[in-house]
Amino acid sequence: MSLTTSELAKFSDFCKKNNYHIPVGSTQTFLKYKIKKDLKSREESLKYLYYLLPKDKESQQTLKSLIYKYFNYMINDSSTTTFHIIKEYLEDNHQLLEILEDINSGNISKIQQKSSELIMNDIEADFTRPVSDLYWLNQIKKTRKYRDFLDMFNNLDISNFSELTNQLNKNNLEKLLDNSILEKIREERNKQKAAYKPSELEPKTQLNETDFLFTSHEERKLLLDQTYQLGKKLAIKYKRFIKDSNKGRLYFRKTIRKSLESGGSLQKIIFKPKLRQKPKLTIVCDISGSMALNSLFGVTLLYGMVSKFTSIKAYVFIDGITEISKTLRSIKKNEIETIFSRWSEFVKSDGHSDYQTSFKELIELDSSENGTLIVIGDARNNYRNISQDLIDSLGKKYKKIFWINPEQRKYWNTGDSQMLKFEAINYKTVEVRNYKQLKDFIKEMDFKKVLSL
Amino acid sequence: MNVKDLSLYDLENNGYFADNNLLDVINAARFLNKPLLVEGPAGTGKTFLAKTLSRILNLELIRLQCHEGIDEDRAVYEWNYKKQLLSIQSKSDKSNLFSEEYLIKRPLLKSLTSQDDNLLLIDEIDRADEEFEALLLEILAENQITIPEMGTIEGKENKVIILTSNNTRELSDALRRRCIYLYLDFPTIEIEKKVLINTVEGISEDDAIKYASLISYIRNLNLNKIPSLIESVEWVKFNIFNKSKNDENLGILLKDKSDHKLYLESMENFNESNNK
Repeated sequence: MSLTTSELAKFSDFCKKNNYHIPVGSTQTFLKYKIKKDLKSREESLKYLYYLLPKDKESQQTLKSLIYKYFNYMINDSSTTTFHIIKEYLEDNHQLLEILEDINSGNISKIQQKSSELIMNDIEADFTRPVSDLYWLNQIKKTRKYRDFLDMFNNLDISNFSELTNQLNKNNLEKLLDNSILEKIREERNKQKAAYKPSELEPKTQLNETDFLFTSHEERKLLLDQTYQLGKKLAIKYKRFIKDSNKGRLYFRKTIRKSLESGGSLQKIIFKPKLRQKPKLTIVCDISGSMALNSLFGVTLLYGMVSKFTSIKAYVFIDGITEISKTLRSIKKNEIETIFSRWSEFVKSDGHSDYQTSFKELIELDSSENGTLIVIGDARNNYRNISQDLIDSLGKKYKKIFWINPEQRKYWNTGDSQMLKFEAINYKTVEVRNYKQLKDFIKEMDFKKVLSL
Repeated sequence: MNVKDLSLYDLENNGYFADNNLLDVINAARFLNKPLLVEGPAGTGKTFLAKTLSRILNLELIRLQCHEGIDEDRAVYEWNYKKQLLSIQSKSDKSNLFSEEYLIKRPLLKSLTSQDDNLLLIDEIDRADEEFEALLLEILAENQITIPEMGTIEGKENKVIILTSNNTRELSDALRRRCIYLYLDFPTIEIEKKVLINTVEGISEDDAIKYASLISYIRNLNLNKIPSLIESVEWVKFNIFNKSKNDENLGILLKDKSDHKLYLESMENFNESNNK
């Protein structure tokens, strides 16, 4: 049976509730194609819904999971893991062969069944406990049944030739199984949602809306890579703004000289090159303990920016400021985490975040005047004071200050958070706890509008 | 223009190996006569896809390579001022100074006004400035270009438009909305195997699978620069020709010293665990 228009409308409503908005134009395009091509089967219609609606990779992934949730149909696209079947599976292990072939053809029911079994039978899980999904995943990964399942790849008489392919298949199946287990854990926790009070423990819907703190290792890897790309994009935005505003005054002599080529008529006006402005973008990131994983995302953003535009200054701080622009430029993307192994180098006195000292040092160290400052931090100052003098000098030093706070807005100005004081001088203060919020912040950042004010 | 659906066989015959998903999206974009926005990491064959399509569909390829600072003069049209000036000096009638005679057609206008079926490739659109995207909206949505001095020039429905992007900058929603989206990732083992068999002379099927698996394994490592399809093909070609081992001539495949180290370490660990 084909997908009916009313079903599509209901699905569109479902998407809306999950923060995914389907533009009318895209629905029209889909319906036009469906009617003209006379798509009869539901699977075919869902497949084209997936092809024609999303306009970027992220929304493709979101729509894929929403189609699965609503229609219980898994779209089999090129990003779905495909397994290369080696002859040893055909000879030695038909059960494994069946699972892998099913996944290759888009059917993941066996993996889901397995993950349900692992959750229900193997650990006595009390999902009302306020621990993260990853805790439960790690508990399951330690069980014998979990290990036995993946041991299917090891109990084969594999030739040297197929070893690598077998290893790849094993890694991929493990990832799939882990993701499926995580899904099931979230479902279980959803059922017992009433038991949860803190809203930050609510099961996530989409990866890009997941709190950085609650991402699995694989998810984090993906998000960190995307964060690095966002850093580059932000730097490119800034670079282009600087370039645009670099046009100098009219170069009268050269304009007249050029006009001689066209018989004296002024066809091309030549401008004097303006003395190249030094870009005045400074970005600082709090890497103290309270920032937890968020500082890794912050430093990755810093890395993306300085790798694209050499003059951007990057600093990290705990209880004193340290410039890391040069360090970031000298390391590779996969070495970003090594910054945190040098934590002791960034501690100036007691290792607890001190915004007063850090910003005071920043004002002295940073030679740029009237520039832009981006701060990534939770403004938690360990009950130390932040003087009004510091706030005033910070406001004078930078033309515009943007503040990215990884804490939920409702926790700002509670306990030792000093957000209120900084908000007074910030041009924009945003809550960024997940990739979507970070992307929105960068998308909305219009240097032209902001810095020409 | 002929909009008969393409088959995998058509693509493979022209040296392009892909899966059914890619084919379905291309066929849908052609059927709906909508531009195709192909996004993906560098070296996955986005430009090659456009070239292959122009060859299969027998379309003239008109390419616009985008870069920072590209503007209307370089992309759409420019008035031939010198010719206009000469005309002013020599003729008494100056009424038609802004006619087609004085127009220098750049790729977008050339594709729009071409009488022949053509494929317009707007390559690396993310390198162009955001303002430039606005210039494209009219041609992408309405298939027309407005020249203030001449009016609106409407194009025929005789073209396929492909835009490619490496995603270094966020493209505007307005541009995305007008296109059909295709994400092109690195090939699967099966497709890479087919590419190797097709391009590397003297490679056996077993070797092709072995190399395809190895390359897929390498791409899954935490590398600074993931090897492109061309780099992997060249590396295999060189290794097969010289009968070299897998850890030799790594410079062809991996263009970063730390990536070499990472690969060698990972292979060492892998071999150790297998020996156990």
